Amino acid sequence: MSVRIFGGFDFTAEDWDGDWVRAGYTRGVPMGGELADAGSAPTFLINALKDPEGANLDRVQMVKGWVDASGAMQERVYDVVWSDIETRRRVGGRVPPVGDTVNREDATYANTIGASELRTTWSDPDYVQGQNAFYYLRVLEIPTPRWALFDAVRFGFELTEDALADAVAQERAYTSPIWIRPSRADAT
Amino acid sequence: MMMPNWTREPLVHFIGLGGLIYLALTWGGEGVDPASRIINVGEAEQAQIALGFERVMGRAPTDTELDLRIEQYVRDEVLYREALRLGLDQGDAVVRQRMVAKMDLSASAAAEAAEPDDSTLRSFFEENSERYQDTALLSFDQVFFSTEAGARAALASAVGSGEAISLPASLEGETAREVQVIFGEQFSRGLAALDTGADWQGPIASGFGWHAVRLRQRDLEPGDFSALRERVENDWRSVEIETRKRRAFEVLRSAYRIDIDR
Repeated sequence: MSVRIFGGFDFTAEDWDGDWVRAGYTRGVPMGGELADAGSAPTFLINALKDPEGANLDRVQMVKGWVDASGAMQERVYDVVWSDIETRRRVGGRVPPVGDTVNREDATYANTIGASELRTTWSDPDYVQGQNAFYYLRVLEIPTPRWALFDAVRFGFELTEDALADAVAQERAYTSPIWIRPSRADAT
Repeated sequence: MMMPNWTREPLVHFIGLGGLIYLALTWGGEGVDPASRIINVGEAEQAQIALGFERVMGRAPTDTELDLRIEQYVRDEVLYREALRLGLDQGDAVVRQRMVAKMDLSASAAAEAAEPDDSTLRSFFEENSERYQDTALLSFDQVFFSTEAGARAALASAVGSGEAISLPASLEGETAREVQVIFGEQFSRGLAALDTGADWQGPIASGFGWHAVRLRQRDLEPGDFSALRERVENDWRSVEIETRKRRAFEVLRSAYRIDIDR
């Protein structure tokens, strides 16, 4: 799986039509970079391509962390893009699960759900000026068998009910964060 | 310099080595007997110690440093002999493994340093040509579709630009290995079955979806041995080392009767 993220302030959906990697580097910073707070919400170019030999992608999540006014660490996870986004609407603010194609009998899965590539331009809806924050991505694959299920099939034994309930996992990729630092005058 | 073939036989090495040890034992007089309680740090031993120091430090030792090293040598020798006397070398897995490795090394040492000539390497290259298939250079254009039906419809008319995906639309002279890294094994297999030409072909399936492909050029470059020479030489050497180890072992093994209870 390959994941790219660029942070900046003026990225738009039109950037995907051109050389978006060049746009990302010239008008923003890649993962691991730092943005200086410019008084408006940061915008991110987010792209995840599946591994050609692996499972399809379920969704991309942005994890934001910050320190609130009382000094406590806060964290929030946003679903920013997911497969079949037109038909998989949020239910009660949550994106419904992608489904599960894992066959518990022979430890196989099918790439009939999920997407090959997910991309979006995302802007922080909860931006607060002067906040010291970081943003990183988490990209989830569709459910695939865990090693315990492979072993059970290979050696022909039954998994207990507990083990069977835990026999499937969504493998994932993480990026390094992009930090946003308040300018001196705003620092809280 | 070309040595005759028999000089490369492990059996000859073994007999030669055995002969040398025999000569050393019979003519060398006393030798170092682990059971002896005399430790003689003669000129030869001191030169050895000084040389070891020089290898590490890049200069000759001073007298004080040499004395220290000699003291260390004496300590090691005393403890080593006592350990042998106590039989600590027996039944120790690490010692055993070390001796095995030394035997293997003595069988393969000649191959490590051997400089094979071009004709040896070239015939190895030809005999093992399937190892070097992944170096084929491919030039092609591809257009992506998420469904097979979409790809077939596009191939029936003008192919157009397909659907957006972060994969290169064309590659020039890329190695087959690199193509497989980018597009996956399924795509590589599909591509191998295509003939070169100016027409769009396919669709080929990959882990991403379906691709219409225009395979413009495929260079197997079997003649370009010089570009691969170093890799061929490394492969030849590792095969040669394994062969020598195996042959040497087979010779030794043939002298044993082995009973395995079933």
